[in-house]
Amino acid sequence: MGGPGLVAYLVVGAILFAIGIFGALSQRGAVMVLMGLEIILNASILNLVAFWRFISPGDYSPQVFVIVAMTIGAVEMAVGLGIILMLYRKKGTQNIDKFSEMKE
Amino acid sequence: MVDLVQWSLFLLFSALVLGGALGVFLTMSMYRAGISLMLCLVAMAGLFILLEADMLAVIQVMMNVGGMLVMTLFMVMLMMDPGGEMMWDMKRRMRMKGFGALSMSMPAELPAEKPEEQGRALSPPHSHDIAAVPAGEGGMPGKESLPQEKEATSGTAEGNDGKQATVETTDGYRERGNTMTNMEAGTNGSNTDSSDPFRRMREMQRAIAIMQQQLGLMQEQLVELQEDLLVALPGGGQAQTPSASRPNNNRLEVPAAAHQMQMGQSSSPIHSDHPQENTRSAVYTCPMHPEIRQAGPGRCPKCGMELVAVEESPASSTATTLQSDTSSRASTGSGSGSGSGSSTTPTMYTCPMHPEVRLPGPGRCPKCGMDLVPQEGGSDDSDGDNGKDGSTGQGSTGHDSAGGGTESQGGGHDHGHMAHSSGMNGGGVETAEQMQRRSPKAYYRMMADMAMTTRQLPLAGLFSMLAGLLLVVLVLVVAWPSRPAAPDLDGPSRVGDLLLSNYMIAFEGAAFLILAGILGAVLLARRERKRQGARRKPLAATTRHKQEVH
Repeated sequence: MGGPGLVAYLVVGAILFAIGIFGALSQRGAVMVLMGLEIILNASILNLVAFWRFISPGDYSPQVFVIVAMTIGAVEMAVGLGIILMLYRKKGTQNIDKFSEMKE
Repeated sequence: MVDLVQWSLFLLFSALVLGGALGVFLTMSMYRAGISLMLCLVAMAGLFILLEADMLAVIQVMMNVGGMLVMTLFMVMLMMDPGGEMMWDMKRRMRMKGFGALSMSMPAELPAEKPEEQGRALSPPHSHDIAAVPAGEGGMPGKESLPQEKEATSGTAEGNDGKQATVETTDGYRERGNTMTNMEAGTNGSNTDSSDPFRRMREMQRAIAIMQQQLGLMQEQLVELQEDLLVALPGGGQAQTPSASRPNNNRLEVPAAAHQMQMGQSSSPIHSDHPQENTRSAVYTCPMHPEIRQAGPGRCPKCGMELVAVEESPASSTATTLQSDTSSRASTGSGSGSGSGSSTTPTMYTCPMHPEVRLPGPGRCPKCGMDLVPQEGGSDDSDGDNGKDGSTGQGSTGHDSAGGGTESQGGGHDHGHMAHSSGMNGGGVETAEQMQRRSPKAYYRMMADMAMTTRQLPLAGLFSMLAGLLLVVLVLVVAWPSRPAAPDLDGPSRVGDLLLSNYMIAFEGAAFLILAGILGAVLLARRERKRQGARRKPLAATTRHKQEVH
C-alpha cells in the first residue's frame, strides 16, 4: 500500500475544515473568527496539494493555484485585520456582536 | 521502512495540525491561540513536505507563519490581552481559595492585633471598672464619639482619595477614584471598559488593591481613635475581679469603636456582668459575602472561604442609631428601614457589566444577555425610589432613572452601607467591595461570559462535527482516481526551480501584497490614533451618549 494515500490527507483536511468551521462559528472575537477562516483556507489548500500530488503530479499549475490561494488568504487576513483594527479603534471592542452596524 | 517513516511522520504532522487547530479555539487567551495557530501552520508545512511540495512548504512558513502570525500577534497586543495571565490567575485563585481568603482578610486582621496588645497593656487596672459603668453612661460616650469617629474616618477616606489620585496615572481611573460611587463606576465601566474585559479586570484588581490599602489605613486610624477613647473614658484604678475580666473587655465598652472594629475581631468577648453585653454574640461572616451569617466558624457555603468573626448586635441601640444616623445623613429620602441590615432587604440581581440593571430575580441582563449576579445591598434603588423595598422590579428604564438618582447620593450611601457592613468607610470602597463580593464561581462565569466564545458554542460544535463527519464519510466513500505516486517527477528541487523561475511574479506579488497589508494596517492605526488623541474627550462623550440612548 505504501505511504499515506490521498484518502488519509483528505480525511485530515476534512477534520481541519470542520475545526475551522467550529472556530469561525463559535468565536466572538473578530480576530479569532479570522483565525478560523485561516484554518478553513489551510484545509482547502491541503486538499489541493494532496490532489495535485496523487492525481496529477506532473502538472504544476495546482501548485500555482495553491500559491494564489495562499496569497488571497493572506490579503484577506490583512484586510480583515485592518478593518478589525479600525472598528476596534472606533468602537473600543473587537466583539463581532457589537459590529452589527457598519455606520457609526 | 520508508512507508513506516512516512506514516509516522504523517500521523505526527496531522496530529499537530489538528491539535493546533483545536488549541486555537479551546484556549481562552488570544495570545495562546496565535501560538497554536502557528503550530498548526508549521505542521501543515510538514504535511506539504510529505506531499513533496516543499516549495509550498517554504511559502507556507514564510507567508503564513511569518506574516500572519506577526500580524495576529500585533492585533493581540493591540487588543490588550495579557497573554492568558488573567485566566491563569483565575484558575489559580479558584484552586487556592484558602490562600485567597487569607490575603483578603489580612489587612483587616493585622491592625486588629494591635488593640489586643493595647488592651493587655491598659486593661489590668481599668477593665473591670469600665465594664461596671452603667448602661446609660456606657452608651453615652459611644454615641458622643460616633460623629467624631465618622468624621475622622471620612477624613481618612478623603486623604486616601487624594493619595490615590496622585498615585493613579490614567485619567479615567483617576476620575473614578475621586467620585468612585457605585453607579458612577458602573456607567464608566459600561461605556468604555465593559467591552474590553481585560482592561476592566485590571482596573478591578487595582481597585481591590486600593481598597485593601484604604482599609488598612482606616483600621490604623480606628485603632488610634480607640486608644484616645480609652484614655478619655472615665476610669479610676478600682479593684477588679480577675475571673470576670478578660484582657479585651475594655474594647467592649466602647460601642462605636467595637462596632467599627467588627471586621478584624476574631474573638468573641462575652461579659457576664453586663446585661447589655449578653445580647452581643459573635457572628461569623464571609469576607466576600456579608449576607452569609453563621453562629459558628466554618466555611462560606458560597465560596468556601474561611468565615471571620464579626461582633453583631442586632438589637443593640448603638447599632441602630449608627445605621439611622448615617443613612439619614447620607440620603435624605431614605426611610429608617433601609439600614436594617442585609437580611431583610431583598437580594437584587445585577449585571456584572451593567450595574444600573437591577432586577429582583435571577435571569439575563436585558442589555447584554449576561447572567445576573446577586448583589448585596440592593437597597440602593429603594433609597432612590423613596423606600419601596420590594417593588423595585420594573423595567430597565425605570431603573436607569433610579440609578441616576442614586448616583448623586452614592457617596452618602456608601457611608451608611460601609458603616453597617464592615466598618470601612469612604468613597471607592463600595465598588471594590462589590467586586470582591463575587464568589469565585460567579467570577469565573463572568469571565467565561467575557471570553471569546459565543453562547451558541455547543450548537457550533454540533454543526461542525456534523460537517466534518459528512466530509470524512464523503472522502472515504468516493473512489478517488489514484495513480502511482509521482512517477515522472524529477524531485522536489525541480518543482522549486520551476516555480522560482517561472512563477516568480506570483511569489513576489504575494509578498508585496502582504507587505502592503501590514503597512496599511499600521498607517491606518497610526492615523486613527492621532485623530483620537486630538479628540479623545468628545469621542468618549459621544459613545457614552450613544450607550445611554441604547
